[in-house]
Amino acid sequence: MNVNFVNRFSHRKTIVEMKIKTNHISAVILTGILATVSPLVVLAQLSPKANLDSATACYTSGRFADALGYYDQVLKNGKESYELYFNMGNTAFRLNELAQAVWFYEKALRLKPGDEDATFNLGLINSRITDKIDQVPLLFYERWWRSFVNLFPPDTWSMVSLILLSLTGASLLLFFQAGYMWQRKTGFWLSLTFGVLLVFSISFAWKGTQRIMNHNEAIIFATTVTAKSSPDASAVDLFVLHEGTKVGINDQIGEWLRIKIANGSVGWIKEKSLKRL
Amino acid sequence: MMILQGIDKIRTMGMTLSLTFLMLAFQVQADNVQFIAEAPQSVSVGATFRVVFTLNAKGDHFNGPDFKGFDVISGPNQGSSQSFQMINGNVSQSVSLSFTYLIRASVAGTFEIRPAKITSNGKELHSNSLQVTVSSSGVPQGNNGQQGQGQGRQQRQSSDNQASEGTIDGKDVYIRTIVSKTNPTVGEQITVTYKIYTRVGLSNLNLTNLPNISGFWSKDLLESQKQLQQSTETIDGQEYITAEVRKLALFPLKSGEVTIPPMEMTVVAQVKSRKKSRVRDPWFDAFFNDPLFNSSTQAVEVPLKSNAVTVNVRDLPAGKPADFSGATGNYSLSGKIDRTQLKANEAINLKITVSGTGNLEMIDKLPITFPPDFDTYDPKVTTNINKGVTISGSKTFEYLIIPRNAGSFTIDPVKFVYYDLSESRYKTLSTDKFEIEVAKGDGTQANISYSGVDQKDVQYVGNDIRHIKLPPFSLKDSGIQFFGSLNYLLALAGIVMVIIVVQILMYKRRKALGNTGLMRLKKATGVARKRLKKAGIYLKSGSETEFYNEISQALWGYLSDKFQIPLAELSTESVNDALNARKVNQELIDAFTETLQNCEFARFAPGDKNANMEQIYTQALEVISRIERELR
Repeated sequence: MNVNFVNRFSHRKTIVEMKIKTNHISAVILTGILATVSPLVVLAQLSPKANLDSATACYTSGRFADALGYYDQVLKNGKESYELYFNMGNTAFRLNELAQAVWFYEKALRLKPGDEDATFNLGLINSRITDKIDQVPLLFYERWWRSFVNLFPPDTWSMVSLILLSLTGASLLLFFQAGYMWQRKTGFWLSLTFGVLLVFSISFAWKGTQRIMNHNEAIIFATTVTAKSSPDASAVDLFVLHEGTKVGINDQIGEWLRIKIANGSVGWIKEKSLKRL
Repeated sequence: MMILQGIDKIRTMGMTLSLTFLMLAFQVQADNVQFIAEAPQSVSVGATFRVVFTLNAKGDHFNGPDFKGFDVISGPNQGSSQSFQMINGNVSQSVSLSFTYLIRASVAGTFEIRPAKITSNGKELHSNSLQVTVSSSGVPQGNNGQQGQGQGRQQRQSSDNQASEGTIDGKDVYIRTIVSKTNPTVGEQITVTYKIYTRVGLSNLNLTNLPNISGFWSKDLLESQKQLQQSTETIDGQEYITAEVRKLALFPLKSGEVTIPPMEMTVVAQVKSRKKSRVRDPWFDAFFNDPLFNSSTQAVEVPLKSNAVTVNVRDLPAGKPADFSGATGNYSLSGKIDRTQLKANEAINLKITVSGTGNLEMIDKLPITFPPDFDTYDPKVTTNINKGVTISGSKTFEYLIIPRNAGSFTIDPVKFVYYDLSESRYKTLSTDKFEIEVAKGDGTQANISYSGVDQKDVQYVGNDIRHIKLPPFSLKDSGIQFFGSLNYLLALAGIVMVIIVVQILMYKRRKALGNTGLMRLKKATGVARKRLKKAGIYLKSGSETEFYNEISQALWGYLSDKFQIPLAELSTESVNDALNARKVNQELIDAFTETLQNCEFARFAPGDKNANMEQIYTQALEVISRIERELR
């Protein structure tokens, strides 16, 4: 009995010691975790892939501000993609930064025009922003043109144009070199068709690229901004826009931008109240 | 009636004493038969009084008057009494017969009570007639307060004058309506008590008019009580026996002035009627006129009416929550679920209990939102009310719910809104939420029928953005577009170069291989056309030989080049075969061979060659162009 008791006692002691040890170890691990968690300190050293993984983890656990920080780090590393902008849009929306979210989704849609998810989310946010602007209806050929441009990202259209060029060349070879009339005829018609398609694909690729490179659209970031009739602070107030509204930019005089909204109204606002896409 | 007990005791004592005297009496005195009517001289309208006809002998065939101007409430009530008197050994017996009417004066004025008749010892006797003045100045009996008291005093004076008693005044017995609070808020409990106060013995309490209280939800607090609880109270120095006849808990339903109507009842009061002893003996007078002995009581029916009370009900303050259903008081809420893990098609019992003080019965079904796939039934409601000074208790709603599909479900917290009277504000109580885990049913339930799938449109209950794209996904350098980039331009130029190079190479290779046939084929039409042109010139200049030579060479050469037949092998037959092989029209083949033959014939045969030159020229042109068209 007595011996037993002593044994048990000593056993307990070792357990306590072990606990202290593990505590120490876990404290070290904890500081390590803390260091990785605080974004500002360690972010720069992480690879874009690691950043994306951390951002996803943060997003799913509801720490949206941290997630946005990680995503931003990827952007700052000079990388971009449709998915990145889409995720940033989601994160901004969760943080209730509607203008930011619109900007990111628009950006995502530039890289992958007509994407269903981004269009859906953007539609949802557009229903929550203040300004509701009726779109001027497009003519049928404009609609077709736009839907063709949006069919593929500009890079894909560029690839398509290269393929079409090759096909046109092959058809021309057939036309010039074939021995028989029907072969030459086929060659002729094929080269004509591929040629026309080539011209279109180049146009689409050009248009899509233009949209990305020109930055002639923007999202209003100021809570409210008044569009003026001329690039002058004392000019007549025309209309008031709120954050999250998309505008087109036609012209620039100094810090003043000539903007056009979806219903066709034109006015001048200062550049600082918006962010170009 | 318990009230009467004390008084009864006194009376029995008196009786016992009288009987003692009876034992000693032997002499019977019977003289001076008198038939007297007694009534108060003046009463007020609505007062109840007694008219007594007394005969101091035996008699029968009583015939009462018609009491014009009065209402006979009861009567004639016959009463008889015998008394024996022994004075200094002389025992005298007196017999008296009385007929009592209980009469109410309904109209003001002076009325005569006609004499009554009775037969005694074979003689018809007439009583005296009486004059009764009914004054309208009085207040109906049964009212309490100063006026009633004054009236009572006046009445007593008059009855004293007349030397007869037998009326009941408003000070002897009355009912009062007591309201615990005259300015409650809507839904706040007030207690209304109808209380009877009496100084005389009462029996046969009979409610004639139960007040119909509208504008309230009422609860009888004395419902379970079989007997009236009596107590004593001292008012203005007078000791009263009191009892609560009716006690109600009232909950106002609407704001504004509401009158609680008076209660009306009749009671039978035991009224002492002291008779003047005719024996003028100072000692006996003093002894027998003492109420203790001379208190023969008589029952008088008295109508009573309580006072009406006006209650000013205040409305509930503004800012009623949407779920407020009118519950006022002080409550607590509890929710209990019998199980949270079960299989589909099994039943769950959810109990929601509201307990506390206030208008519990006003609490309606509590709003509960069950998951859409649950079958629910109307709750079983159990109300348990304790009637104390304030109404308290509990109300239980028992819900039977049957989940039909597996899954995890949540029943949102049940909310109950009430107006807290002590804190004067609206309060919301809520239970915990109930999480229910439903496993798949084993299908043993007999009452499941698969009679087709109940299809519904997809229900959209929320709206949210779509989830983020999960890595890995490709990233590219920003700001760089493939279109217009150097790579693109190089690729473009490369493809163009390749095409051109291939074109040139193929051309050169064919030339190097000396594929003349191909070249000849390409040139056939051109050569034939050149020859025909030349022939045209010769036709104009009229040189026959050169003309035919050119036409012939054009035709033969065309065929040779076109069908790649060496000139040596050319003949009409071989031409025919070659054209047939290309599926040229037979008529055209014939036209071609004919033209060839015509040409050969004109070339070598003598005669007027000029005449045919024109014809052959057009023939040759037509045939070549037709074959060219056919072969295309």
